Amino acid sequence: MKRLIILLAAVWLAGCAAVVKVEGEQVVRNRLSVQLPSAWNRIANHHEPFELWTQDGAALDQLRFWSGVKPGEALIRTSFTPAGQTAPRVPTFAANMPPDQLVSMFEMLFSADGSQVKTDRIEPARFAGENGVRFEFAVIRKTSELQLRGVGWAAVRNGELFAATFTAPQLSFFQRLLPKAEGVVATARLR
Amino acid sequence: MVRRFLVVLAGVVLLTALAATVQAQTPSRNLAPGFSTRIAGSKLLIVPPDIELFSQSAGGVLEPKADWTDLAQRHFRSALMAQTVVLAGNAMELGDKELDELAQLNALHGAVAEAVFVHHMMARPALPTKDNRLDWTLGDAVRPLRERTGADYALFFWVRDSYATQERKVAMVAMAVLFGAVIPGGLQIGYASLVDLRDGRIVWFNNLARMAGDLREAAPALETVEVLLKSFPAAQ
Amino acid sequence: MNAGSPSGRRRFLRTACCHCAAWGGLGLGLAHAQDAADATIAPRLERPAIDTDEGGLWAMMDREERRLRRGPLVIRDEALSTYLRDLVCRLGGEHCTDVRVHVVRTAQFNASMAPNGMMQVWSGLLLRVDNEAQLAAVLGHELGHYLERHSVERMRDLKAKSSAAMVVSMFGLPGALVGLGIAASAMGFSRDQELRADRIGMQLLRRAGYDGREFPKVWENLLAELKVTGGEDAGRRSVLFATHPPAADRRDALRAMAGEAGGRLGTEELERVLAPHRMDWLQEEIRRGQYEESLALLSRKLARSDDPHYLYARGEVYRLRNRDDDLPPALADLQRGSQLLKAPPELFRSLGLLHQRREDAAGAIGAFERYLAAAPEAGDAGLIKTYLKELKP
Repeated sequence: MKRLIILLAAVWLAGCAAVVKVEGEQVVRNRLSVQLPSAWNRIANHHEPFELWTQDGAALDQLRFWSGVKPGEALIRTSFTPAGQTAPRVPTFAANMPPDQLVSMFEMLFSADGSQVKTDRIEPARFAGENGVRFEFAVIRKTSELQLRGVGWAAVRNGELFAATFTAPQLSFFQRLLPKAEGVVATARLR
Repeated sequence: MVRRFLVVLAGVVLLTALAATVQAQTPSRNLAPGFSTRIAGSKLLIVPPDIELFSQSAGGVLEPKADWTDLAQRHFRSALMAQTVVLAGNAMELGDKELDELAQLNALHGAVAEAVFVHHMMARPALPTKDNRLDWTLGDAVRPLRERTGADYALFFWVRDSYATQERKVAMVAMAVLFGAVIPGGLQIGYASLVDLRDGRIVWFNNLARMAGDLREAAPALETVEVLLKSFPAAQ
Repeated sequence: MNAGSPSGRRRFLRTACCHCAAWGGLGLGLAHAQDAADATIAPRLERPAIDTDEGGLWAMMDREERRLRRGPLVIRDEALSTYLRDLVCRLGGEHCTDVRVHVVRTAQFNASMAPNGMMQVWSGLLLRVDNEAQLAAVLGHELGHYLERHSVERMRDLKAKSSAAMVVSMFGLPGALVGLGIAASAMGFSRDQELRADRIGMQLLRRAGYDGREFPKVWENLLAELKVTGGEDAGRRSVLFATHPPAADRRDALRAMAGEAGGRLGTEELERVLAPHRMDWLQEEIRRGQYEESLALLSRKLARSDDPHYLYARGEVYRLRNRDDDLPPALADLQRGSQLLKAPPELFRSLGLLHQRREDAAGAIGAFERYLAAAPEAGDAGLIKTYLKELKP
């Protein structure tokens, strides 16, 4: 019985996400630095090509950063592809993407799990010291029908993409946590 | 597929063992910082408990059982009404229809409760910024509920319970004999969550995850309710 | 067909019957076209006893239906709801009082029927059918499963139907385990059940006066869309991880059952009730980002009509896919659409962006200005105005 429990522990912990506190200056993939006025929780081991931080848990709010994405690279990992099938398309950055197309990529990203996405606003804005785009959107999660709101920022420098998104439940959470997220994003700088 | 499922359930068994340990060590885990009792004379709103019971077949497939769920809902309610600590707080029940109209709030509470369950009660994984505190709030999302009912607190329940069929019990024994592996039988998981409707904070939370409990009968259902409501704050 | 079926412990979970792109893998049953005339529809179904497995599912479906009805994904359109209700009544006779149709905003082909009479039709399906007969065919097939109370083991919606998934998710275990462990369980219909549902569907369809040949066309169209990415195994890649390969055999069997030419198509009737939603659904389809599938769908639509909404959608998909050889067809579609009367404002946005890429400043300016004139409150007006500033000398 004891041996079994140890075995189970190993199996289970192998899949467990590691969460650490992040504060002060943080650098995403050596290229994008941000200042955190207050602490966030960094979720590691999620195997996705973006940085994931949260205040109350990933099922609630998510602050994501992409840094130095090169043309041809996808913004999320390919989801499970059954044998013999072509993998479904995933949002992939391409050279010379104009701002409107950057936003289309994120629409695709947030609807990949069957959720409904609608972009409400797109306008030019500075991000990480570069000219880029800021967009506002709404997400309805397929599984729980929970309504979320989101904001995103994206900019391209020397052919590489840098971006951030913040999503949280529309009821109460988004309004309350957005200033914290914006406070971090405003400090973003490219190295 | 069955093997994967067994691995999953094995993980659950482990978690169960851990949960028991965690709860024993830190009794104040259930309370938000600065909160210990409800305000004297305050009104408590009981939200219709979200309960579902399942039967677990030999291969681990879970089948919903309406008659059991029905029984469970009735026993749960009776057991709840027998809790003087709860009722002393001037309790009233929210209707199913009214809950439907607050569907998005209900969905939000579900998501928050899950976060509390995973990141605070189980701490698997914990969120370091929470510093082991029960520090989650629904904020002004609760306002419509307060306005509609005039209640000061709302009590939510969520329970999922499965029971091994005879076939499964046979399979369990067979597996143990052949492989030395233990596959779990039925499983009872749930939480009780108390929300302060003036500011939306979750002020008290309790959960259970165990291989015991039977909501299909009155006496064991009472036991489940008592376990869930252990340390439920009085109104004084 | 009794209300109280034995609740055998080995009974697989009976859940809603669901159709995504896949058909059950049937060999050729012998289709008897003659059966069409002999159809007898069962009397109205009684609510099953609560202590049966079916009763268990009914109750769970009732709760799920209440949640659905109040949620943000269901489409509330009185005209559309009435239309679908009437269609179900035309097909199912007195059973229609037990059936409630809900249209759900999801950009994939799907319709499902729960034993408690809850029918869901996804917007992706409404977008894809060409006429009322095709829609009726799918609904008739679903009614077939409902009328025959087929037992099916299926996990359609992880949250509602899979308590195991809920258990797992409560503990924050990796999502992959949930997806693979639960959804991969064999959840198909038996060969016999699919064949029977087809047969009943065809009977109902023809009895209601529709053209039976439209039934096999629904699946032909869907297969064509999926073969684009799925090759010969097209149909597996669906929301439900359906395990059965599609069967051209089934299509052939349906063709044999279809009978003579003639019978209602109902193209205009369907068009009238779907027109207010089409633009929203096209946008959702485009947002999926599965360009090849979208192109197959849109090309099929455009083969039948020169609708500016489809021209916009296909032009936009070409533009987003942005392969070297996509520019000319994108331009062709958007320019043709721009000359039509009901061209949507979004078309001019796409055209402007395309001209911008082609470095045709005059073209871009013209299109952007038309877009902003037609939709001054557009959410991306800020961005488009910036583009205009950059384009003007």
